[in-house]
Amino acid sequence: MEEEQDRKLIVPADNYYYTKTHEWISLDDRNTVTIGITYYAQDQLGEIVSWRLPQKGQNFEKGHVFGLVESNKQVSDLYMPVSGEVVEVNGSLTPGLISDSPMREGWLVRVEMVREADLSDLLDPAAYRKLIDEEITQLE
Amino acid sequence: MSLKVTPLMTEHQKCKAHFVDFHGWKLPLRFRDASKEHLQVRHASGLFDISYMSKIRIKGASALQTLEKLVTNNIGLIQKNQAQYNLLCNEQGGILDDAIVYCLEFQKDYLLVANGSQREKVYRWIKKHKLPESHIQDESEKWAMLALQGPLAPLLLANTLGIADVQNIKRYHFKKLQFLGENILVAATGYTGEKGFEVLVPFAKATTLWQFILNQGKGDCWPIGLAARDTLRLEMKYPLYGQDLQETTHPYSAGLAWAIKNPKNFIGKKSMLNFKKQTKWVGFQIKQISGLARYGHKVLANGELIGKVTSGAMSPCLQYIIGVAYVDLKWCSIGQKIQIAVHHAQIPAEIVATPFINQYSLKKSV
Repeated sequence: MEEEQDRKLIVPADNYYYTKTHEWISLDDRNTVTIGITYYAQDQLGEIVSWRLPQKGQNFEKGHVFGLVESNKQVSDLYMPVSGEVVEVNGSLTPGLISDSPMREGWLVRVEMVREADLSDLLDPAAYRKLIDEEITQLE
Repeated sequence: MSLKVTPLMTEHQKCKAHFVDFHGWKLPLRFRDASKEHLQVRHASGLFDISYMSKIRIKGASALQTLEKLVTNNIGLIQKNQAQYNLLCNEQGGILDDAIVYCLEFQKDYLLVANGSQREKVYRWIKKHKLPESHIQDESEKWAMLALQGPLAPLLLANTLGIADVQNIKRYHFKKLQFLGENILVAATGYTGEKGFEVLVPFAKATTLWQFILNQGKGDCWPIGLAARDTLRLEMKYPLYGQDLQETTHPYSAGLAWAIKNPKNFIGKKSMLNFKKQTKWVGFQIKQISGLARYGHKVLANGELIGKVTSGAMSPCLQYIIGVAYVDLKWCSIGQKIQIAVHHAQIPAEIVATPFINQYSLKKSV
C-alpha cells in the first residue's frame, strides 16, 4: 500500500520536462522527444483502459489536443507539449501498460520538434513537483 | 454546497480513498486500483459503504395497501423477513426509481431502500400517494448500510457477528440481529452477482461494524469503491438508475417485465397493458480497444442510428469493453454486429448474451 500511495509523487529528473496538464517529455536527442502521462496523471485517472493516439506523420501545434486516454470513470485529453511531427506511436500499449508504467514502457508518442525553444516554457521537475503538491493540497 | 458524508468518512480517509461527488455525497471512488478491487470481490470478498442509499419506512394499518398502489411487483406476496425487488412508476409507466422493499411486519411495516440520487423525489412521491393510516418516514440518516459481497462473504459475516446461522439466510431474505446491543438487519441481497449481504446498521455503530468485518477478513476482505461497484454490476447487467433506467424508460424495454407482478391497480398499470415495445436493453462487447462506450453514445447498424448506449466499461474479468444499450427491436438479436460512435469513430461491437460473465458465486452451477 505504502509504495502505491507514493508513486504518484515520482517526478524523474534527468532530461524530463513537464506540462501543467500532466504530460511528460523526455529529450531523446536534440530534436526528438518522447511524450507520455505522468504518474500523478495516471493516479488521478485510475487504471487507463483505452486511448486514442495520432498516426505517424501527423503534425501538431504546441498546446493542441493530440489524443486522449480514458479510465472507466474519466476521459482526459492529451495536449502536445511541443510543435512537431509524430515520428513513432507506441504500438505495444495494452490496457494496464500505461497504468503500470506511464513513464517508461507506457510512453505514448515520439515527436520530432520544430523548435527547440518550445521546451523553454515547460516545467522542470522541481516546478512540476510543486504543482502536484499544490493540487493535492487543494483536493484535500 | 458542501458534500454530505457517511458515518464511515474517517475510515475511508484512513484508507486513502480517492473521493468522488456522487449526487451530493462525498464517497470513495476507489481505494487502490478499481479493477483489483473488482476482482477481489469476485474471488474473495469486499466491503462497500452504501450508506447513501435512501431508506423510507412505511408503517401503519394501510402500509401494504400504500405499497400496492406504488410498486410494480407482487408486494403482498412477501412475508416478514423477506425482501423483494420493485419499481416505482409514474402514470405513463416511466420508472421513477428501483428499490428493494423489506417486510418488517406483514401488512404493517416495510422499509423501502432505493437510490440515494432519487431520495427527495421518491420520498415526496410516496407521501403524496400514501393512504390514510400510513406513516412515511425518511430513515436514510438513521441507518448506515454496508454491503459485504463475494464468495467468502457468508463465512466472514458469520465469524464477525459470531452467528453461524447468518450463512443460512436465503437470497432475498433477511434477519433482524443484535450487534453491540443495537438492532441490525442482515439481508442476503446485493448488486454484484456474488453471494453476500447488505447490512442496515444504526449510524452510531457503523464504524465499529466496518472495522470488525475488515479485521476479521484480514487480507481476504478489502474496502471497495464506487468504480468497482459499477463494473461489478455491469458485468451482471444489473441496471443503474439515472443511466440505464430513467423516468422515460418503460420497464418492458428494460427487460424488467419479471418485476411487474402486482395484481392490484398500481400507478402506471394501464401503461403496462398498452405498451408496445420498440426497443430492448441489450448487452454488447467491443474487443477492439479504441475507445470506451459511454452513456449517450450512438449505436449504429450499417450507418443507421438504432440506439443509445446507457453504460459501458472495461470489464476487469473479461479484459475487453462491455456495455449496454437500448436498441431498436429489429436489430437486437444476439450476434448482431453493430457500431458504437465513440470520439468521432465507429467502433465495431457485437450484441451478446448476458450476464457478460459466467463465473460468479450466485450462480448455482459454478
